[in-house]
Amino acid sequence: MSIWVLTLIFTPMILATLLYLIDHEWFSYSTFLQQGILLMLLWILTANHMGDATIIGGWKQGIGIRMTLDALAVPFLWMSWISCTYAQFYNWEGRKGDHKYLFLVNFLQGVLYAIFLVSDLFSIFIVIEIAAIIVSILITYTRDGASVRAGLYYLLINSIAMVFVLLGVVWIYIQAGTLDIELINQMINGHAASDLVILAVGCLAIGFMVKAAIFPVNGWLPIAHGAAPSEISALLSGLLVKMGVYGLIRIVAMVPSYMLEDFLLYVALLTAITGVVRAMFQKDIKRMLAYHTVSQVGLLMLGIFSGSSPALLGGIVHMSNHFLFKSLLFLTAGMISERYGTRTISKIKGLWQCDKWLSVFLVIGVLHITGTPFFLGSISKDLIKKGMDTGLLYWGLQLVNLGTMVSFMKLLAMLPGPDGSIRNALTSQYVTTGFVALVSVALIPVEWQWLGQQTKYFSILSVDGSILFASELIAAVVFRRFAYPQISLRFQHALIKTASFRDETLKMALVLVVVWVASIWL
Amino acid sequence: MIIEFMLIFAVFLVGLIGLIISKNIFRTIVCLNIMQTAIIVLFIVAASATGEVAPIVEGLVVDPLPQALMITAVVIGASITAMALMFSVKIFHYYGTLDWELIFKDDA
Repeated sequence: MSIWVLTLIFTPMILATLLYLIDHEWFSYSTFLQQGILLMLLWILTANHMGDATIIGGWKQGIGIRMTLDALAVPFLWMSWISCTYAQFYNWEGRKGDHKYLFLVNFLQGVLYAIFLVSDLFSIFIVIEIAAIIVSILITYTRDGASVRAGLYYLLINSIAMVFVLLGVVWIYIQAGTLDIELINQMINGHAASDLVILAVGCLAIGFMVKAAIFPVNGWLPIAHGAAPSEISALLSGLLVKMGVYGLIRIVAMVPSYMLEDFLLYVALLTAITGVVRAMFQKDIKRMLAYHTVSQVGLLMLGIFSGSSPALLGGIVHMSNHFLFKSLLFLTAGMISERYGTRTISKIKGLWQCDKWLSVFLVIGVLHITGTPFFLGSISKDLIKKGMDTGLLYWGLQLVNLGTMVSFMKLLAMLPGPDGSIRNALTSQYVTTGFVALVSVALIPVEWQWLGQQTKYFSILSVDGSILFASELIAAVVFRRFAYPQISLRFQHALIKTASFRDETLKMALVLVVVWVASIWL
Repeated sequence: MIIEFMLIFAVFLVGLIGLIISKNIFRTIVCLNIMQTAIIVLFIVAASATGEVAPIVEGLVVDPLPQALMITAVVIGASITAMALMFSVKIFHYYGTLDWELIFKDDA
């Protein structure tokens, strides 16, 4: 397995370097070949080596870099492949001569595969830092003032978060004498971990919480996602935010701590609600989608950390579902803002007249994210709801869904009216967005089939769910018609304000203190 | 040993408090570096508790892994600093200031 894994990680990195050195337009087409090879490699790894582990260089465990391919890593590897594919080909007409862009995206692709395969804490720290550096360059790629400040904000907030992760890593090494996740887990072996290890895990948790944009430190996400080029926003929202969730799952599995799980559960509920409330009142289409990412990540973390098996499965499935439909929405939003020359939602009118295909993509994305029966969002959200026994969590989830509907009615209001576009979109944009839309629709029957076999809780059409959806839709229409304008008039200014950098750092330090105090006392 | 750890904790706190109170991007970058340095020194000091001589000499040797890891962390920290300084030069060209609040003033 070692050779397949190394090929998977280093093919994109080597090709990236070659692309940078051989600065010719014809050589850029080799990325098509590369994506095909990587697809085959991924297929081989998924089919034959699921659950395998290998140590690079034949060292003994705990010293060499160990790579594991478990059930959690596989969906992330596929997501990395899809996201790097659309990031490269979305703007192919403009980017094929741009060797710097192709270098960055392909190097990022190799780093992403490494993130989801390595299984010791220090290597995870290193690859996540490299990913943060590359992504900050990609955010600033248009080189205007707004994007450079967003890139710097992203880089510094994430570096501070990773300093906390490094502190946790060092602390765990001092306590446990090893950095291998499996060895640490064996060492604890079901016993309660010592206080110092719990404190160290708290440090790791705060770092990954910032990466996953969990409440309260999520001010960087709308800034970065709003300023980046659309395909990079899609990659950020779809994949890189979930990298933090992935880290949290790994450390909670490494050192089981009920306090941390409960803490993450309620913080996730707060994240979901605050994210959707702020999303409702955004004027900018990309910022609105960014805040929806915050809320949906909170929602899937609710499923993962609730401790019940259908909700856990639902959370994991929602991770890949959210990846697909949020990528689709961001790519569509990028095309819309390019065609109309503006990102303000209220200025965009007559999308159906202007572009039938784009409208279809937009409607598919909206149906997915609002949890319409028979679409991707509903499948995973139903599973998450099945696992919720506490009334508070269940109704919190319904509230989030209601807010999502209210918010996306604003997007659907772009459809009617006379055509007001000023530019045409590129063919490659239609093809890439269509590819993502097709994958998201094709996944619906696959998930029906697979989840039907996996769990008895799943049914293709739940009558309760449909009735609930219909009543929520009515409530959302009423809210949008009557309450929304007043609230918007009074609070919009406060709700669209961005978080200042100093406040974010202060919040990060405070959350760390709260986690520490809670883990010592409880 | 306790005194060393307390000093390192003090350096870490200097960095953290500096991050919270500084308005200037340049100061933020410097404070980030101070925090990173504190952690690197912490790891080196903690690893030296096992022995005193280098791993190539016979006897009670120092654990070599922390030093190898910290070299990598130093390299990562240096590249982050370089990137951040490069961005702040660009920001100074665009906005004429390095104050966080002034830079984000026109942000909706």
